[in-house]
Amino acid sequence: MDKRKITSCDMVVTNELILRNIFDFLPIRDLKNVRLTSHLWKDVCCPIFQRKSIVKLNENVHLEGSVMDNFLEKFATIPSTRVLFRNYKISLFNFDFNCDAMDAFWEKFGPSMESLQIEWVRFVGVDIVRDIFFNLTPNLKHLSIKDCSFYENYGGERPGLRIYKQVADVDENVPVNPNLISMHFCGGEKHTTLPISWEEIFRGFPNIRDLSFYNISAADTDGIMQIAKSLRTKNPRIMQLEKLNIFNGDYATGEIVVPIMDNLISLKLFLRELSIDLGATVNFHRTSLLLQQQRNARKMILYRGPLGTPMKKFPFDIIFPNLQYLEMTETVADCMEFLQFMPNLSTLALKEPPEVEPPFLPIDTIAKTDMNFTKMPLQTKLSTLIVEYDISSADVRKLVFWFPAVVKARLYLDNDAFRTVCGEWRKLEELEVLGERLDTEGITGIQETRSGETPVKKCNPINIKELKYLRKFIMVNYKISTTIDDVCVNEGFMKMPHLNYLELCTKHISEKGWTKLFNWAQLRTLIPTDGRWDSEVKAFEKGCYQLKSNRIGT
Amino acid sequence: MPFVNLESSDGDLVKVDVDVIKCSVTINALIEHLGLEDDNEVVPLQNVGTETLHKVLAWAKHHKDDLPSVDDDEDDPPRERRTDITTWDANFIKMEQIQLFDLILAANYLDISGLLDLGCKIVADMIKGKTADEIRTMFNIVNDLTPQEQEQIRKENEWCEEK
Repeated sequence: MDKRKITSCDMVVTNELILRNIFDFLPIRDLKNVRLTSHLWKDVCCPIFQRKSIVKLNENVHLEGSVMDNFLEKFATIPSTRVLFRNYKISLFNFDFNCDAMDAFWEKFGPSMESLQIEWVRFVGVDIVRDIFFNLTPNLKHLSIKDCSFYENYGGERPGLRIYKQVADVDENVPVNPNLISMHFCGGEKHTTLPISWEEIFRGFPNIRDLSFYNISAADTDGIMQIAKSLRTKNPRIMQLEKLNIFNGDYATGEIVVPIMDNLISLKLFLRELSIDLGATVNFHRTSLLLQQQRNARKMILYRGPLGTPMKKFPFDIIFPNLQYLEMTETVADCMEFLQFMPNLSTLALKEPPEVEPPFLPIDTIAKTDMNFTKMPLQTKLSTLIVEYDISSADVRKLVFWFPAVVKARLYLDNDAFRTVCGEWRKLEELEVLGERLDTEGITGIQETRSGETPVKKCNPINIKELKYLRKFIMVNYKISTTIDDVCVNEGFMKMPHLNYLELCTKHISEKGWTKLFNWAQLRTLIPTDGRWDSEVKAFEKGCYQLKSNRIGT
Repeated sequence: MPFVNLESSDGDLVKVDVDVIKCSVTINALIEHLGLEDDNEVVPLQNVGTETLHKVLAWAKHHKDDLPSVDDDEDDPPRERRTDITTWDANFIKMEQIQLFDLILAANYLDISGLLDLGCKIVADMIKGKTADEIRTMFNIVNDLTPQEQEQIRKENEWCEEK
């Protein structure tokens, strides 16, 4: 019998509650090893592993045999009552290709599915789609359908090429799945229409709380809104949505138009999260009405509005007491005064779509705002600030003044603005610098000048040690090389007392410089690139720097 | 009652501001259950040594004004838990492994979720990148899985990816 004294380590690694907490912080890669450690660890890990992992079944036409057949064969001896996996992503399948395998797959694994993503699937027959929705996946909680094509028949014979375009007859007695709480539908090709009416969806899934429509036409969105309005009028208890996302990101089909907005307002939803592409065609009055209705929301993502039309002011008469997260993309205000009406905002993000480079600020929002615009207390709760516009040093000074409690920032900074940030945001922990105007001089405080032929190093008043809390620094400049060099490694990053995460894109750091950073014990994660298609830094090819984050605690 | 006396398992008394230790669900419940009303009454903590108790209190004092985090719905897809650690916490948690485990047990017993998370993140960091054999060696765990069971787990692992 083992008479070894039980240590606190033994108590920790056998305590199921503590183990669950530990495993929650591990990625799938490590949970796979955890499962192989012992019975106890495998059992404790099981629900976390099932929740965090996903089975991706991607048919590959270049491989012999079907992925679906292979999957079924691997688990042929496992009874269908035993739950192996809960989350599935099925893509690139031709559902007509192997009907027997399809039937066997859904019958065996459908009941255990909690989340299902189907994307880029072709030749899907109507029958099987209805079965998947209403019969074969009774425990499904999350359903996402992206860019699929549906065809009129399904069965032993090939359905032909008749794309399903009709709205199905409504089955008023459609089976109800009360478990399904989120549904995301992303249209793809123009002809994509679900072979199930939205009325059936709202009847069959009465507890949907999170609903997203991506990339579907305004007419279809309007139709959905009308059905929702009609059903809500008869029964206000259905469609108690908490999150709604009508966000297409596509000028052709995306924006909300007046009838959709009117129907949306008349639904009288009280959302916790609203993500919406308002566009330029909806007038200011309707926008105000919608936002007034959603004044208790905690998170809002507004795309192209309500400030999309120049000089339109944010509806200043609305106070958003619970709003914690505001993201405005392609949305500009003529000043920042709207912030007075969001006293609990913790994250403000002014964004441009990622493909826009370089971004520009059509209206000088920050410059036009008076430094002392607010009589209310300063935004002391705002801890995350993202401004993806190339703003001036003077703008940065204002942001620093308005939001003294920032701990995370993503901003365009030049040397001067960087100094301001370092000097004033004393609690800054994470900084992503956009653009390429910040250079080695800005970061190190060392100015290298030439006097005749001899370089002279001059120290300016910046002290890198002022960044007492900075632990994460990112400067990747959209994968275009910055001018960060070896001097910056030695006199900048390595003098930051708590830096432990560094992500850089530069071709000016030598192999020796990268190696030095890699071997710097304080740094837990190093993600280097040099902006070249074929990197000239040999170590990048081996991927050895990226492995740094795996060495934590060794 | 602005203060409470906590008695460690070593028998030492530590007087602490109630406002500081409000993060402990266990102590709050004990104060309520024992009906403590004046500053001189004692809350016994049989599972927490003096040294560990002082560490717990240092952490609680630093975090006493933290805002509660915004909870996601439990039915929502799980948000990736934050694995990063603030600078203050990183300095605080630099300690011997045995002290770390004592602190985790104390945080678990006192039901202080923020401190428990911090300790668990460090242990998770210790596990990252290790094989099952290395994990067993590090924590002195006996392998009680049969080769067939291990084979089955490997087969399942093969199909799983990060969500």
